[in-house]
Amino acid sequence: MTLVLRADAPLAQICGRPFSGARHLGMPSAGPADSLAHALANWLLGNGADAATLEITLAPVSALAVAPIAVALVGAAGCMVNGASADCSRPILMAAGDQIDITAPLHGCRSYLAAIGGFGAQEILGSRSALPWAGIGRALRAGDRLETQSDGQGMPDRQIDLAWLAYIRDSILLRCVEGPEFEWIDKAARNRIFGTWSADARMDRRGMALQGDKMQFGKGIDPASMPSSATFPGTVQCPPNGLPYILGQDSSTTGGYPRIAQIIRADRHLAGQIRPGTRLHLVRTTTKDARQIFSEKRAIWRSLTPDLPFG
Amino acid sequence: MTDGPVYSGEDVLIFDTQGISLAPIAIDGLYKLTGVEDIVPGMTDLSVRFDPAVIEANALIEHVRALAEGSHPPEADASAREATVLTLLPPAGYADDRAMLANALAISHKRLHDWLTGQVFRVSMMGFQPGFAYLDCLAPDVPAIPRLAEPRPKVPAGSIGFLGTKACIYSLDGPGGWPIIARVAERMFAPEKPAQPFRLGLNEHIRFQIKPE
Repeated sequence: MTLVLRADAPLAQICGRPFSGARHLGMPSAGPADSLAHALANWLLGNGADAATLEITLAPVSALAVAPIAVALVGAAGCMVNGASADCSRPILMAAGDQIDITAPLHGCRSYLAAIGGFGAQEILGSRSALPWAGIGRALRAGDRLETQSDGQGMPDRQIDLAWLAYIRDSILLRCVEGPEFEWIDKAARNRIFGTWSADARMDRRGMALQGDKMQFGKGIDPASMPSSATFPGTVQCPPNGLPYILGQDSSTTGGYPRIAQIIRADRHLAGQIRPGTRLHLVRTTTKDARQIFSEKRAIWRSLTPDLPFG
Repeated sequence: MTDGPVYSGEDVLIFDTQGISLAPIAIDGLYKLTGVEDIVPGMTDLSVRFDPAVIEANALIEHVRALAEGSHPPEADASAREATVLTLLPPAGYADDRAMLANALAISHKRLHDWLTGQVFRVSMMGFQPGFAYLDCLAPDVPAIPRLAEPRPKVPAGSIGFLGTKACIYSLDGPGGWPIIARVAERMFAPEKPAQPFRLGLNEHIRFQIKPE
């Protein structure tokens, strides 16, 4: 069961489960930037939530089925099969020779193409996720073959409600708690950071720059004096130049720039749908409320798919 | 560990570890605790990411405190431990700051490799790149070297950097601002070894040898 890419897809990559258990050795998370859309694509096909999908970022992707194959596409983009618009709320059954064209999304940024059984890729540290900047996987090119590991027997009859994807939009609310160095920025900056920002064009899976006001540090604070410490996806860092950014799924495990905020667990998957120009509303919450929000949100999604590795 | 831990998000606790070192076995032990997801030693702290729906923050704090009480300063066993030996190559022509360290040590830069082979280092932290090691030099009186004024766009994998009184080994080709004094032949991160791509581990002691002829 094989899909062959029709054109280069430099922003597409294989995403399995995030790397875990090796962060103390410098191993980033990697894995899907929108873990929820990834899990829903797998769920449609009856795959485990960790089965490897193809993450598609903004640019269109076309692929040809070499043999009959069941796929599912969940996220920002829609698709056509042999030129006809396909229903993305259900699995899509492709016959040999069928072509799938995943279109550029109008809103949001990322989509996940799942195949029954999951795409094959070399497993490293228990994960099939690509991390091209560390030499794991590479940018995909025309002619690359995506192999699946199942013949499609025993696929469940499932459908998602497309209203579940209403979180993919041009204006995203990201709840945050104060970061460990929150007090390092001055009073005006502490008020400003929890407000509305616009996502800059400088973004990739490692980080996303925010466009807006420059943060000032407090009197007597040397922003370059921080000893290197842990950073995570969703950490909002502010370098000495005062221009904050959000760390992404492939970001390094440690850094020396002040961590002024942290997106809460429940909202981290939303960062995967940020595109240049997305309006971002950073809203302050507390660690106590963040836990409550997370357990409520997870309970809802896990009632649908119990192995959802949400957050 | 005097003050209580600091939160970084509702699912990360940062513990001050100045003056103590959690043995690798303690890190393995923490990973075994249900609900613990990631552990990241920093320069002066230890961050633990956990699933707040599975483990209570207070239970985690108690556990880390117990581990810290059983640990000791990292210097205590410097001589007792066997060191990993890495092989020195000359630095790449376009990343060579040997003179900075040699001048600070008041030796000729040709003798720098000899000086290096006489030192013992300890991996105090890993991060920045997968397998990138921050090293403490266990010798006293190591001169402090300043950061490069302009970071280099590409430092080759295996490069040994020196900054302040610390050293580091780059694991991948990439940008870097540390003065470079040598390179090692061994690969620090090898993704083609899927079960164990990392050459070094935390707290490991390191020595350097000159490439045998």
